[in-house]
Amino acid sequence: MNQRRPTIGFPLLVKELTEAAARRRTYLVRVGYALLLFVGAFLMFFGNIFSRQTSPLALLGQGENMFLMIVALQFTGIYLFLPAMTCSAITSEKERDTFALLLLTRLGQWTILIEKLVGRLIPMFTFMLLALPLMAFAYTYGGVQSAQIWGAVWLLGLTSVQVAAMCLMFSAYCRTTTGAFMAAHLFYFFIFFAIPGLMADVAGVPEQRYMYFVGPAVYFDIFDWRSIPNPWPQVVSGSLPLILSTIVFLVLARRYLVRRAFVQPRNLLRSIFRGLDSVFVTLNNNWVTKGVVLVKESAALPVDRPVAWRETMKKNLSQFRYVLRICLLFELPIVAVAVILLFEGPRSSRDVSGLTVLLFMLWILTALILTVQASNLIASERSRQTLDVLLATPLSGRDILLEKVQGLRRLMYGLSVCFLSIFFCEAWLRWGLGSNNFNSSGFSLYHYSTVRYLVGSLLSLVIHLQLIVWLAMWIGLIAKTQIRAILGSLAALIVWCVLPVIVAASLLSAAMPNAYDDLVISLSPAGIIGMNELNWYGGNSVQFPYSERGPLFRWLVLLGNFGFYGLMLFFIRERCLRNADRYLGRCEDQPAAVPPATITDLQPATMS
Amino acid sequence: MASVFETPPVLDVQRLSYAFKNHRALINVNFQVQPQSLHGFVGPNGAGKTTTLKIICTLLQPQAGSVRVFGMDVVGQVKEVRRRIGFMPDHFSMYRQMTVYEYLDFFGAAYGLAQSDRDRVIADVLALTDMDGRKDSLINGLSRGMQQRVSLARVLVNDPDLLLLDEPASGLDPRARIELMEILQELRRMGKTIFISSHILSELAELCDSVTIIDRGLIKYSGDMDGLLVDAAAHPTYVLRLRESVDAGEQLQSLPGVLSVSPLEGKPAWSVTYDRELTDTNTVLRGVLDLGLPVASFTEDRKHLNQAFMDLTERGVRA
Repeated sequence: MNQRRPTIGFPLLVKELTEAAARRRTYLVRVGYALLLFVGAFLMFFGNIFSRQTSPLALLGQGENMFLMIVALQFTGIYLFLPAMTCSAITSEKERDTFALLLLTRLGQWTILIEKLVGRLIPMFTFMLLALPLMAFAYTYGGVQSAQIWGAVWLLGLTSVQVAAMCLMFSAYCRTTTGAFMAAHLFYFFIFFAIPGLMADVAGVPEQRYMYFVGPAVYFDIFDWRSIPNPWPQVVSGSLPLILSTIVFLVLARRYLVRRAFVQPRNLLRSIFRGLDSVFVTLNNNWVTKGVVLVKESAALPVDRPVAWRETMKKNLSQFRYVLRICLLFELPIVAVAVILLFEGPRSSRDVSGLTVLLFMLWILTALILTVQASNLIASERSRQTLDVLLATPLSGRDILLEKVQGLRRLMYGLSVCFLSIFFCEAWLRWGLGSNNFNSSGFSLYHYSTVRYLVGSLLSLVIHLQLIVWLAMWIGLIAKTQIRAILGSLAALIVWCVLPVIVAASLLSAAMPNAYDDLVISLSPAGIIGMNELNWYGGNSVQFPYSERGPLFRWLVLLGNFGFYGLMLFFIRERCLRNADRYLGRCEDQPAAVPPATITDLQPATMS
Repeated sequence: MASVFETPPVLDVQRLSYAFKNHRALINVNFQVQPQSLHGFVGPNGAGKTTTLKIICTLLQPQAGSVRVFGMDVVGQVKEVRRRIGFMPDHFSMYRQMTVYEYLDFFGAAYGLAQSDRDRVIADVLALTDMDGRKDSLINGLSRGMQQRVSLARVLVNDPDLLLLDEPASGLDPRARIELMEILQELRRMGKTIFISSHILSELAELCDSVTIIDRGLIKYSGDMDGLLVDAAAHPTYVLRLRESVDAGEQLQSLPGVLSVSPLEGKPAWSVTYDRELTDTNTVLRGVLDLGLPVASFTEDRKHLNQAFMDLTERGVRA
């Protein structure tokens, strides 16, 4: 018998790349990446090249700044795009029930992991190659060290591998792509932002010291490439945390690959909450409290609003006791920081206080939670195929949407309590301080008004929370899958917060350098929150000197801004409700029947 | 049955057409469903069954033609149509974290039933589907057959006059399948009109009064079941079972009008095919009895329903 010669090949890698090549999404993402890179670079270079230099010779040596900007954009691209590409690597196989077939082949577990990893990294590297012309452009202006170029290649490559390995680990662990995506981003949030930020604030140490271990982007930026003759020993030793964490992620991915290959779908949040339930019940059954229940959930069965009933009674993040626990979880650090600030008194430095850091973190977490929940309201019904049955009932599309949103209301109220605690603490701490004092956030109280601060804060709660919910709901209605709904909503929110400011600032500074005003930050829905919190309404400019930015100016900016976003909220909400039936995918009530027509009259439609 | 056919149809589909991008799902589809009948809607995969059902239950809008349910247009009178129908999709779409009772109560409320009426209605539908003992069970823990019963109970919650069932027996074991068919027969006896889609004709053969066969978006046949056999089987085949093994091949072949006779492997039985133009079933049976053979049974070979289906539909998969 002839023994078959072992052939060297990468069947899984080939399959991954073939699938990626056949997917329209690959090309859309590539265009998105190119847009981010080229538009970002254009906006960043524009001011440098055309407005601030009077002679072409003065540009010589400016290449380093441009190069650093491009590298920063590449890091942003990696953190934004790679998780979206990699989180589905294993979970998509589990969701399609093809993972068992893969495990039955002769491919080993490491082979599967590595080929999956490489299958995601190759497209990412091709994305990054798009920056070559920009880098060449920057290089021509001089000032870029060759060590800097190789350092960028080294750190960008390592970061890609680290991020991909981390996402692969969550993909091997989780049952669904949505779960893997959420887990990866929460991991990101705490490891890259929240923990370093809080530690830096508490210990008074610059964030860079902590970022050094996990944030190669910051490391690359602050590294002194010019003065060190041979930077490689330092760069490699500085990269060790990156390499070690990558190895840990891959080993964990290998560990979970088979162990969690056939894990049954379950709601992790529900399991955690149920575990907590049993703990609290045990604690509550003592001789003092005797199992007393303070608040009982109202109706056991739907009265006349069935969808709202299901949303409030059957969803974890809508049930009163769970919302209360989340609220308490967030309240604890707020109260702790508030007490510390109370004893500390007004600050004399310009450091941002812990309360303000907590407020911004709370906004980020709230935006994340509400976006995911709201975008999932319809998308989850669609993916679980429960929507058709609901749509065949006489409930109107408008009612379905309104009742769905009602389920999120409790969560919004719960989170609002945490926001209100911060707002009132801040207002109380600033009460009676003179305009020369710094507030608890470290910013000047020049023309500060407690009423304006509270009105702005309350308006941000009333308008922005609803705006996040309805924007995510709108995208969730349009998207066909859960992951698209979540990613699309998050992307829309980020773009809305960032893009108007970048575009307006670049255009203003390029077209009319004298007309530029920091007030363009208020174009972002996130901007006005920061402005109100920090009592900062822009620096000096020709049109509006700082001294002219008195109470009236500030009131106008505040109310005008919230008025605009209130209108946007009204527009998005009305659009969703008016087109609810169409978005949901069923016939709308029409006055007359479609007249009979021949087959030649057929208009193409898309599958709902 | 004659009086039934004089009443206006429950479902009237006229020149219905629908296309997805460059794929024509339905082309000038015409058929009617009579009141209190069980109408089968049969076709191979991708024939356009689910699209037709979605149009009837107001989830899709017809691009051409008209669909009337109880005389109401599915485009112009959407809400009225939804109140009169019960739709069961081809997938198990259920809220799995609810109990059976909560699930039915949810849909009772969605159909606008008063809370005081819902208890009674739910008790009735649970009794009908034999699920009253499991009303407090979580849907997640039920078997597939039981989940299908709950789905059927859900369809009945608003007491619809027309039931639209898309592949209700798919994925069920034989016992659950038979039990489901028994429930459907009971519902027909209660005066419901049932429109049931399936890709297995033989499954519906004994159940349905009438049938529509669709293939590649075109209606191939619409009418009663007997008509389908008459039209399709010019040469019907019957299975003759004997009590003991007898070599009766030559004797059977000699009967007038008999075209072919073949023994069924391993059984004392013969397959007899005759020409409908030359003879009929009774004459052939009388001839068999006259031969003095120990006859156990003489039944129509159900393979012929499948044959009729094969004759009407085209081979291969739709492009």
